[in-house]
Amino acid sequence: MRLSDSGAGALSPPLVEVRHVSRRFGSAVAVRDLSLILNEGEITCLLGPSGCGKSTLLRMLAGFESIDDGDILLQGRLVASSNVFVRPERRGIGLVFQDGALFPHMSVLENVAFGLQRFQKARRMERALEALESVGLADRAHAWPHMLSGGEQQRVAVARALAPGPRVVLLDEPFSGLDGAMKSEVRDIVMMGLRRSGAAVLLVTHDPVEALLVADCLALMSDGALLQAASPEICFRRPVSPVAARLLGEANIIPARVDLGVAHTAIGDFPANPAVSGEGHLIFRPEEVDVSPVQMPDFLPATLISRRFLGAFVELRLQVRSVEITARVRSDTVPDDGPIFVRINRETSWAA
Amino acid sequence: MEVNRPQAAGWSGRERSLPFLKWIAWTAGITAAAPLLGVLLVAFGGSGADWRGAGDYALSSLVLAVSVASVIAPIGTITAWLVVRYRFPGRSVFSWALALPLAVPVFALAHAYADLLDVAGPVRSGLRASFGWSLPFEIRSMPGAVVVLSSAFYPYVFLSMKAAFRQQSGVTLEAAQSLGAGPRLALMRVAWPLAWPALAAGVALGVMETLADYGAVYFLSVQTLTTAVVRAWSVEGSVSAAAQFALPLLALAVSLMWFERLMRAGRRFTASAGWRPMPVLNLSPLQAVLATFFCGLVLSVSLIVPVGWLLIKALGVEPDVGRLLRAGVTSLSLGVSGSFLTVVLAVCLAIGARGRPLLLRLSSVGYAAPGAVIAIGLLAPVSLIWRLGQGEVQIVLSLILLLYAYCARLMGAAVEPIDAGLDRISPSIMQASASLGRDDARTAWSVQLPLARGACLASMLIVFVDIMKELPATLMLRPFNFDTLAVISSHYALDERLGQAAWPSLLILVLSVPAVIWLSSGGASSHLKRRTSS
Repeated sequence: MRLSDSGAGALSPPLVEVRHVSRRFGSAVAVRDLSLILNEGEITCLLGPSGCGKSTLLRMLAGFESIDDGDILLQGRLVASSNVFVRPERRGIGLVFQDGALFPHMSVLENVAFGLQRFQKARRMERALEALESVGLADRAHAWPHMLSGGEQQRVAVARALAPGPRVVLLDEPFSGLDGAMKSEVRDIVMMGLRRSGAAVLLVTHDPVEALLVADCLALMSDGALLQAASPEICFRRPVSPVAARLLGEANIIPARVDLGVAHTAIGDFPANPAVSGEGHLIFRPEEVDVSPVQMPDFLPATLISRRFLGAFVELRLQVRSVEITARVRSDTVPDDGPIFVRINRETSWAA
Repeated sequence: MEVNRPQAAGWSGRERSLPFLKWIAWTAGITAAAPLLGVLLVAFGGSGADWRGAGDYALSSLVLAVSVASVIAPIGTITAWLVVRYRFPGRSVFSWALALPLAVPVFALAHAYADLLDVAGPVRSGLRASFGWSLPFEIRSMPGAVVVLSSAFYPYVFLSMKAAFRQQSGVTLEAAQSLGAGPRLALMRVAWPLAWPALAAGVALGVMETLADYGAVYFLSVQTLTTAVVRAWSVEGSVSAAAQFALPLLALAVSLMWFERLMRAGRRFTASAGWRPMPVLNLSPLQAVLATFFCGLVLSVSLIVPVGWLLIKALGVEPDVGRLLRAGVTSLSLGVSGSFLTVVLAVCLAIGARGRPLLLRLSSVGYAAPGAVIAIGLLAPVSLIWRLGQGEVQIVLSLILLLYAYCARLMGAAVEPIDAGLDRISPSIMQASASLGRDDARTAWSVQLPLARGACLASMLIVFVDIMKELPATLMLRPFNFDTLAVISSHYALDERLGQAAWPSLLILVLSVPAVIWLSSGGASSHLKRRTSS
């Protein structure tokens, strides 16, 4: 996925194109001037904190929310703008809800066959069974939703969404109701089914680990705006802003003066985003700080402020010159007392 | 998203309703409201009524309504709290039996008490003979009417409060107690405020029924606006005068509905994730006996004594079996067809009017209007039909109008449970259906309707019981010599033939009791719970 402006030259139209879309609720802006592209066979994760507008975006794509400004195109066809509105049942988008939303009065098989009205009955059941097989639940076809575990319900919900063969599938925090081991098992099964379908997938989540794990493309959202859309790797290593960096986990953020691709900070000079100049931030993860009990080249002396034991790791709060940083290192690399020296990895730090 | 959204669940945006469902809903809604519009037309179109005495009627209606409200509110609340919260002898029976007075027509209670407490009645003569004491209480009076109407209508408060207390989570009360609130403070500060909307709803229903009552107050010689409406029409023969007397009733009805909505607005408490029923507490032996005594007393006054007396009187006479059977069949067929018709319209209305509360309110005004008022709105077409003669076509037409009157009168009662049932369907279920290619109408048919089946059944039973007991609209709109059980009971009673009057009343009771028991033991809600819990 790319920002739509940079993707304008693509050969075939993307499956979903969101162009400068805004949505307000009264005086509150839920989504502001947001552009996004979803491509065939690609899994895009929309990551953001609660209330950032990500579910609103998903609902606008699905057709459950109108838009105030901008356009939404599905396979090159305009489905929503300030004066066009194609109803959800005509968009052919597969949808998976947080709570599964299975029809409680229908069996599992009937649930999955619900979207297959255009087929003959025999063919319908056949396709529904195939869809159930793809999530490994063909043997529960005749069970009722309330007899299934939460994870199984969610797998049925995915099978139901995939059964009609949609080109686009949207998932709204589909795993957030599940816990622990079941969560990752269900996630693996579901993501495999989604990949096999070849659909363009948009998964909304607030869990950075999940987003990094499953996304081909990551879209970071905050306060109604899209901050960054890129591969998980790029988003993690080259965040566009301190807010974007924090969405994917803890980060050290130090004021910097950026000039000609170099960030000048209190703890040295670092490579910077060449597009930035003037006041900026140096951003690096706690894992990217090397700690040593002895002075080595490029290492700076540091004072220990506090120390937290996390099992395999320790988290150190350190004073380095005029700034405080957090470092996360293996427990056995730092002695309990004595001097500490640190080095920030120049390859993985980034100024924005 | 989590920002505040004006249209709550987001499914019912204005651009998203297919005209089809919308039109059906509007048609149903206007159908239900039409008789009331008729009343307005007649009232403002006709000549001035004789307003002498109107002030007195209005005052006695008001006094009656306020007195009944202040009796049924505490009685309904206390009985509900007792059966939900405490263990005492008879609790499991009381928890459904206390709703049974709903199956008794209120005029039958009036007949029974008027006879029991009559000057020559058994209570007074007994007291006189044994103690030489004359009971200083006249049943044919305002206080008498308050006792009778309260006996009949406290179950509205009881049922509504019982449901509210049952929904409350034990966790909430425990939290209050962990913060240092004793049981009494927890009741006052937590359980009670949480149940306040339910109290408002229950009392509003009771007051609406009080204002609407004709048979009981007329029999007890209390002149209210409702009796004035009927009298203006039957004695003075002036439809426009009747319609004008109906205006203050309509205004009261609308303001009651408004009050009830106001009480409920923004007070829809939802159970949190950790919901667990309130624990049932043990009482000391003395307290348990007192609880049993109190519930028993309420049940005796409202049901056992009057129905027992009716039974005694009934067994003392030879019933006119043929007439009873004919009236029974008539009542039953009116009840079944009327409730079916009403619920079909109510379903159309409730489904099509999702997210359009105004339409629901509009169609529900009839429930707060006495049957006599609805009848006034339909008198113009009825008299037109009768002017054409008394052939079979005319009888069929006027029966259709009578069913229509029931429908318009009871639409509010029918819509309420269906609307609540639809509310319980999570928006994501509806959205799932849309995302799988079904439009609103087909979603309504394949998802909403099957999920609201229990609610539809409940609403059908409520309407059925109400039609069985209905008197004034039937009296005014029925074709000549077309008797329901309620009509013959009232005729017999006015002829002072109480034994004969008791037979049809008891028959109504027998026909309605199963429905009331099913409703009060939570048939509808348990059905729904089983279906939607997962």
